[in-house]
Amino acid sequence: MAIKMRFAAKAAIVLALGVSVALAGCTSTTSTGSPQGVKGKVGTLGTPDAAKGSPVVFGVLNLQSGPVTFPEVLLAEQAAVSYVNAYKGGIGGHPIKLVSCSTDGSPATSAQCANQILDQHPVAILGAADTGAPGAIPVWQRAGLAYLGGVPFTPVEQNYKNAVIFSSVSTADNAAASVYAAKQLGAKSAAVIYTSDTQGTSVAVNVIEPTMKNAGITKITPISIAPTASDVSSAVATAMGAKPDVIYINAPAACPNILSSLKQLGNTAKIMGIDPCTSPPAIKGANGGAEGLYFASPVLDPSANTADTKLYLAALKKYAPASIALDSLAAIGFQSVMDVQSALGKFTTADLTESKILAAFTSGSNHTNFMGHPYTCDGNQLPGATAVCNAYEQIRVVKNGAPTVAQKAFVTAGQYYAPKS
Amino acid sequence: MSDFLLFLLLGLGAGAVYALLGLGLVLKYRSTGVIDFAHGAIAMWSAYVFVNLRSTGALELPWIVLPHEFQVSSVGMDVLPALGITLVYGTALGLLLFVLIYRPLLRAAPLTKVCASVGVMLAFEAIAVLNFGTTSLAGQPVLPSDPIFIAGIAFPSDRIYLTLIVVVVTAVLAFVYHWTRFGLATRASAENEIGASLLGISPTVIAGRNWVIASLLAAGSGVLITPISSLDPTSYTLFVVPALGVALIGRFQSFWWTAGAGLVLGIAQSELVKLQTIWTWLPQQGLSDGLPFLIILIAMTLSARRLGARGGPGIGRNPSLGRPTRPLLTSIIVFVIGVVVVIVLQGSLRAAFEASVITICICLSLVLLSGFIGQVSLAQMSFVGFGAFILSHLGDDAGIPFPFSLILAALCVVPIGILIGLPALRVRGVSLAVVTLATAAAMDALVFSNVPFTGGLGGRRVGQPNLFGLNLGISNGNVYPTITFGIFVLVVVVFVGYCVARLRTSATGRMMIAIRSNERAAAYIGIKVAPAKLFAFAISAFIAGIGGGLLAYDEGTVSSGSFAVFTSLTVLAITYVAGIGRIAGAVIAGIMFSSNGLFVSFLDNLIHVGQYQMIVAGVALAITAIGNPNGVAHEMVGDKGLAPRLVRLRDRVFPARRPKPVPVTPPVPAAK
Repeated sequence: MAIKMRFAAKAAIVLALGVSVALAGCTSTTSTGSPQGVKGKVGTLGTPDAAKGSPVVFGVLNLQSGPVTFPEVLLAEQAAVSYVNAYKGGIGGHPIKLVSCSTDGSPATSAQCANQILDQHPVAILGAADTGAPGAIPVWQRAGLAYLGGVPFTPVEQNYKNAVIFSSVSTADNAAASVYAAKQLGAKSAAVIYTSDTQGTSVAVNVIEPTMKNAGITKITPISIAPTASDVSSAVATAMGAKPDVIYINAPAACPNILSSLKQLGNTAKIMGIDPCTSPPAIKGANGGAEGLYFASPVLDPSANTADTKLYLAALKKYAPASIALDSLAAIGFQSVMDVQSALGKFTTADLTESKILAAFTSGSNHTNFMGHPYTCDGNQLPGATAVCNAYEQIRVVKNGAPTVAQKAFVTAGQYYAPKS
Repeated sequence: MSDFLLFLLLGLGAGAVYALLGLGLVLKYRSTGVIDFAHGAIAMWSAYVFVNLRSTGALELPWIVLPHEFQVSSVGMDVLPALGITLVYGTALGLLLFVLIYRPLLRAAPLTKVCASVGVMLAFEAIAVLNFGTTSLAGQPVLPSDPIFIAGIAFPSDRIYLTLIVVVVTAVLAFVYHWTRFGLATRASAENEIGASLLGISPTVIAGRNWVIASLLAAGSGVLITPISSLDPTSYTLFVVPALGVALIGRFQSFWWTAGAGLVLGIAQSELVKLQTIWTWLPQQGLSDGLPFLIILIAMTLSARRLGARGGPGIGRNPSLGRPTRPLLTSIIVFVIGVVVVIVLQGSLRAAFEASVITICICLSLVLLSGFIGQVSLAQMSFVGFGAFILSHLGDDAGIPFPFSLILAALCVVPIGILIGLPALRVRGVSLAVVTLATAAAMDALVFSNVPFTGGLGGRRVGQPNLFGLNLGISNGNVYPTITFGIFVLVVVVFVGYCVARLRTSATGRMMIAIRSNERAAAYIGIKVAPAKLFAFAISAFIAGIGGGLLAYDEGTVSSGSFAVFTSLTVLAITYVAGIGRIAGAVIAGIMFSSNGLFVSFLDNLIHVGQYQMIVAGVALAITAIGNPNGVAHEMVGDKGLAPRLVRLRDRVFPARRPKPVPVTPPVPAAK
């Protein structure tokens, strides 16, 4: 019996480690673009210009495990790196190499990941999507590393003095949409349904509600729902019971059900939401309830048919798995790499110091922003977020089951978004 | 009034979710004595199977790395064939899990059963995250959902159909288990396994059949609630918490009470949402989320004595206990080795080692509570988090200096520990696990979502510890992580370990072990069970609070994400796998199994295993529960293990002082 037990215990350990090793063998979080075998169309991807020599290392932390994940951001960044290494000559002719670490949303894991990344001696950090960033930013700060691009979820990276961020998600998009509700849709009253976690509460209380008030919406009914709510119809009924002009949905996970319930309960108010509400699965899951949903996005719709969006789709088709979610976050990941390469492409490896890297972005104004509005890193683009270089958003609306452009020009919340200091 | 009627009707949706899942939990408990924490995860997996069959015609298989989609149809399937396949799939999955995991544990200790089901839950949740991502899905309608009108109000008709299904399922279960031979056999084997066996009933076969029926119910529940509940790995998995609450109200015996409690709970949550808009003084956040957990706490406290106990051939053995020898010398040796490791390691590995040492402290709190006195806690990381945030408030807001701030923060956690310990005076084993899980979920909903307390998204900053001008913090200028911080946490944690070792060998420790072995026998010989339990909860909470403080110093900024419900389950999992009855188990858990600890960081540096850690933990937990509930540490301290050799080496280098022999005066021979 004892032998059997001992065998079982060893089997458990061996299995645990074996599974780890086996799994890890199939995973690589580094991505070095290969200039070999490039067969893309010249018209879309451009002329091949393969990078060679020793790689320029960038660190990346991305939320890959835990209750909420954004794998599409890293996949898009890896695809973009492969593209610029094959077609844009990387940085100074050297290929870009991403060394990444999977985080789970907790600052502890992000701090641990950041320390692991430091062991790889990166020249800078490429931003991705990580709600545990407050744990990693102090590590970057101590190491004197610039933080470039990515999806800034928390105020910590939005105000990191060594960061330049090309698009704002969760702040500028909600602020711009709130102003659009008041000024363009003419709303005077609103109900805001939001997730009662720290992210949802922070955005609802600090961004949406004050911006709406500043823009002229006089009556706001906030309704919180649990992230794990089993049925959201009561919250929807409460929102409808307030008889608002517009119902604003800031609940990424529950969005399809909220939209579906709104339709089932006969809602007549205008609806606004966030980008995750408009992914194809969410629109399908809403069972027709997403029709007429307004939302703001810092990047162009992939179907906009511009040179940037064509390149984006062609590069993803070539370098990313077919299963990648084509949402705004993926576009921001791709954008980050393209903007970094655009600014640093002519740098020699000796130029890749923190101060020179940052100066490439902070000097001058209205730099070209891939799939987005031009950016200016002067610390004044978004109040309360000094690292954000671009607060412009495009307003879109779901029509016939797909997002379409509601207002072609990029807009900001302007003076209506004024966070408390 | 019509508004309240509307919210009542809408609440039937959530109520049906709780009721259906609760009925499955009752079935499983009645037949096997297992409170299956993985029940929600099985419902979640079945829901994904159904949704993917409907949308792409692909059958999802529960593994990673290998292809996990098997194309059954070239296009999305209709409702009925997809439902049929899903129900068969769910049934087969339930049978497989029963044969592999739960059947070997039928006579295991409650903690072992809890850990096995938690392992299954963690594994399924992690596989779902990797295979399906975390983007929420919403299912197409399964039942007709056109609006219907009652008393002038419109609401979706599927709520009525769901309620009818709950009533029908409950009636069928009640009938089958009361009036049929199968039902009688189930009750007989649940009440007296030996007696049932003597009558020719195989309790294992009966348990297996019931488990399959419950799995079928889980799969059906998962499918039916897809149109009303957002389908993502975490939400569905956590539906098990309110479902446990309603099953508890039904005392894990009554189908009707369970179903009724589920429906009433759903309605109450819905009405609360309405009341929050009328009575604006009510807390606007967390109230309806926290309601199920408050109900669990109250129900457990009031009805605990009436909870049915399963009759069986014997109570399963608890994990084995260690008995520390020469704790002071061992502590000094461990400290010296730790200092050497801190100095030798650099960069991320030094940081990982320091995180390991802090995790050891947290695991020690579980060794004391679960290992020594046998009380299950699934809320340990909530204690840790509370301590961390309190430290932030005391240190940064109130300006209380180190070390008083750390000690005070840990002391502030003690009342929470005692509060959670109160239900433990009336319940034990798996029921206590449910209570503590409810506590963790309630703290998540009511405390850790409180922005002023937790600092919201940015978290709360924690200043560095300074003692007499010496910076003990993890960073010093550009130096990170510092050696002084490593030595500081070693001093604290080794001291905690020493105290736990002394407690284990003291009279109090022996009382705890007596209580763990048999509460009634312990009470009979004069041990005051209730104070001893509360003492254990208090000390465990204090140690967890110290761990929280150290964690806060380590991270520099604390935010609520670090202390979510699942983190407590993970800590229990790694401590259990490592050996929950031994201090060495805590050390192994911290060094080898902690996700941000030394060994996993080393592996992650080498071969990038970060995102698979949860799956590995879940699988290892289930396998350990089956094969060796004593944990890895037990293997190391066995007769031929590593630990005895180390002890012999220690005793050879530092021989124990032998008491001087007392000269014996030979009797004086009598004068001749």
